[in-house]
Amino acid sequence: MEDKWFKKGFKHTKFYSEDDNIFSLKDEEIDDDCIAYASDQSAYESESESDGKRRSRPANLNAFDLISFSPGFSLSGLFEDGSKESRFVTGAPVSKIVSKLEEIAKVVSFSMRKKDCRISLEGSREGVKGPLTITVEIFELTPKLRVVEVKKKAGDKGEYEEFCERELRPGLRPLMLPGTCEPSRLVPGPDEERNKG
Amino acid sequence: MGCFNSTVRKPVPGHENPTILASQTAFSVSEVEALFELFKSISSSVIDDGLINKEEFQLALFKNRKKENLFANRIFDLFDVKQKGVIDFGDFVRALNVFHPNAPQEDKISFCFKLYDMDGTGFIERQEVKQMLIALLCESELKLADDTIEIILDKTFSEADVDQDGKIDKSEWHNFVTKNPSLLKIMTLPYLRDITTTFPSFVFNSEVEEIAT
Repeated sequence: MEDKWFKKGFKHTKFYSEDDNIFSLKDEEIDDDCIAYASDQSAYESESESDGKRRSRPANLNAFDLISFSPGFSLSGLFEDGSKESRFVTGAPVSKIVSKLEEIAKVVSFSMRKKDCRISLEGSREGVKGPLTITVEIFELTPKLRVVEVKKKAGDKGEYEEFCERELRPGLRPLMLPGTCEPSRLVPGPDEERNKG
Repeated sequence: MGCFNSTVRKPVPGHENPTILASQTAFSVSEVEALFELFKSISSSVIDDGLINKEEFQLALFKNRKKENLFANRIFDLFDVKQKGVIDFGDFVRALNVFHPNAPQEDKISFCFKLYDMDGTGFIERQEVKQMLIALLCESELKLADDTIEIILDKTFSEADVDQDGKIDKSEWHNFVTKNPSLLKIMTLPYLRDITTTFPSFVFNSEVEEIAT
């Protein structure tokens, strides 16, 4: 399925059910990590509508959402050697996160699309696996804290990792809380184990 | 189609009849055979005995056989229904069945409850959730202060623990998950729909094809 040949003409339609309705998603609008996979979806939708500004009410994360971030729960590791997501906690408001991303996108001439708290950055260079596309999603953890999640949606893994190392992470670092550790390895070092924050 | 008496092939250790497994699950016979290809590669990676042990499971998930992980341990324990410390092919298929996109929601909700009920008391206690949350924070890039952790736990339990007894029982869990369907995201593997494409070597090994010759 990774091979472009298989994808020719293939329309991957995903369905999700919410509140007893079945919705289908067009691939280019939202992908399988749709509906800001976090709890409190109703708050996410109704608040943004009632505010009249469909802008930036992020979806809320509860304890189980956080726990489910663990790669130990992700059996997709059995099937693919995918790029891991990256997450960090910030005290910055959504608008500041978004404008930081805009800055970064501008520097590398990536296009940026935004739908509520979900941002897509896309490069123009056609690599072997197509243009690098990165999804950034913002969630609310507490009234003072947001969680920013970054993952590769399309493109070459090496290119993605390079982009994260050289542009994305340094650009976002000012927003990260002090003491945020750099995610360089799979196995936490001894000091990380003790530092539970 | 499949024939029960296909004894032409010598039995591979850990290999249950794919037709029987297919009839018990949402998988077709070809899909079970494709899963067998996956199972073979995982179960032979450290000890070639037709069974997946904890190290092999860790190797498959993390590409690191020594990586201990609280959550992977929970999943392993639930796959290992006979509690023998190893997962056989039948266990593997039946457990993965719950993760199939077409598997009943009830099964997913139930499996997920057991996952979080670490000590198997039939309740998800606040202390258990705190322990899991701290474990998650240790292994991830996320760092949170103690009082933030308490705020998150308070928020979660005020929504989930309706009778406010400090723990979430099965029916509270059921209601909570129904209101927050994203919590079941970890319980579905879209890859399972494409399994025969991901593991095409089954085509050459298929019992069904051999019968024709």
